[in-house]
Amino acid sequence: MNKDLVSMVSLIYYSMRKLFLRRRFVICIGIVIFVIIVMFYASISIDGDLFFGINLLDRLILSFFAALLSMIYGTTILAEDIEDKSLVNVLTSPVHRCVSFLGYYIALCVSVGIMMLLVTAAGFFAYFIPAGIGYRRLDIFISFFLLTFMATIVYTIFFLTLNLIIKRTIYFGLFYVFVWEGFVGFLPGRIRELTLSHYIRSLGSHVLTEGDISRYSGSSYLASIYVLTIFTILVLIIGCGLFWNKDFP
Amino acid sequence: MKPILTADNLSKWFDEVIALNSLSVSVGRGITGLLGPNGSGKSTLFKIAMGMVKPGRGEIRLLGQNPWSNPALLQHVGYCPDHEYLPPDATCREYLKLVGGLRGLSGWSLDDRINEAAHTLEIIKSLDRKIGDFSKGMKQRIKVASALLHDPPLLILDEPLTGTDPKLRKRLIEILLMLNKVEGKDIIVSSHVLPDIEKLTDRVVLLYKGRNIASGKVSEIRELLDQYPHNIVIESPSVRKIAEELMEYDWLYSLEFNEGPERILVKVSDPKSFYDIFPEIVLDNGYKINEMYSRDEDLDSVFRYLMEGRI
Repeated sequence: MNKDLVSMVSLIYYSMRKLFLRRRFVICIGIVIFVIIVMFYASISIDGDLFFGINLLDRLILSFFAALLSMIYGTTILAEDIEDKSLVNVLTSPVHRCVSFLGYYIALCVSVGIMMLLVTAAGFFAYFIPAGIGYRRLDIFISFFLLTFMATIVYTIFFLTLNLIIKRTIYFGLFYVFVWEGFVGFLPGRIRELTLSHYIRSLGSHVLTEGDISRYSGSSYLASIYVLTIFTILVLIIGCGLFWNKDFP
Repeated sequence: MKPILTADNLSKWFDEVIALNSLSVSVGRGITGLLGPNGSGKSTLFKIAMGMVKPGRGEIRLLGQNPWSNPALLQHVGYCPDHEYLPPDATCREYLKLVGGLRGLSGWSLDDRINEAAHTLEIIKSLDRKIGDFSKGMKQRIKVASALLHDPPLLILDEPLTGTDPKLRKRLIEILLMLNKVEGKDIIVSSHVLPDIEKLTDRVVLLYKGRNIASGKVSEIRELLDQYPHNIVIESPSVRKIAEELMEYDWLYSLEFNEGPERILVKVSDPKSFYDIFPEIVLDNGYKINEMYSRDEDLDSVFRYLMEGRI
């Protein structure tokens, strides 16, 4: 196997192990429990109404927890390696720094993706099991999870790169998640086009056929795909460049 | 013979702090000691040489190449940093697998290299123990073993002997000598304890406040340093017995017990004799040494003395 690939796989394995075995994983478990309680309670309150259930998944998971979990893990994966000095192993390896940065990004995407799968599954089944799950609803679950995973891919690269630009990323991250994505992203008018959640929800309006998200009047399917893809690639390139040129004393 | 490391007017600032100040140095093959107190620029020089930090001004060459943005060069260099960074929840084998993987090793070749490095550093029996359970000395061995994994011809070791007890210090020195003599590896090793360096090599470079203030044979440097008493802190459950033993020697300047529980500050006028005799005292009596290190302040004053007239 190519040496760069071996190195990247090792970094992915090591970073994922760190993300799942550290105490911070408790946050994910806490979110899963919270989502189960909220969704189950909602389900028995309104007899598992499909429209309402998707609205809840949208507000709770897609619009909030996808960005929040990406922020929590994205702002810490590299920062922790810098702080505990284990980054020295990565920097002194005979591998291009961009390969290492890509390794961190893949580890982050896969880890947060798995966590979002747990959160989405917990919320979906807690809501729909009492009312019964048919093939159609499973189809909705798969579409909804893919949408959430897409959001994770976009948000994680943003927060990972942010680590290399500002020091106290977590504060900026909180502001971004709660104020920019959580508030500005839901304002009427064109200003919401400046948020990532607008394009993710626009995409959702073309993928899902139920819930408020399906009626969301946003950008076209292709425009949303283009914006999210170009944003991800552009930020990934910027992140690679910054990581490549950064001093790590 | 081509030098393995050269720096020409190399400077580096971190905000307002100058870490290297127009440093010019040339390090040849074999073992070379880099001597200087904390903050003298040893680690910064190593970090620049390993491509972790960009030089501010001047030029540096490692094995004839510019190390910045040059990952291919790192295939030929093994690095052991001075700081503690080992994951306490991983076993020694898991950690070495990670480092080997990052260096592009996999499968049987990685397992073989782990066993070989562990055998060299005598940690083979501890490979499956958690790193968190290890002593400082064992951790230093693991760090050196990880630097050996990809079998590089050059080793850059930043303070590998710091915090080790005399017995392990002696053994590590023997291992480093073997790596040079038997395996032909070039080694650049830093320390702030001259007697440690002296046992490894007769070639040293003295750094102080980011400058090369002297380089050459150890014997010449030692003559200057030995004019000053050295302060050595020893932590052991048997400090009182150790003190009694040390009082027999005329090079003992003073003993102070106010360093904390089970700690003693030993001032000696002849550090070489102390470092020669002390391991024998420990081994003969079976004393347990938790920690032993040389105080920097004394060395600092010597370096200041050496710097006079050079700035």
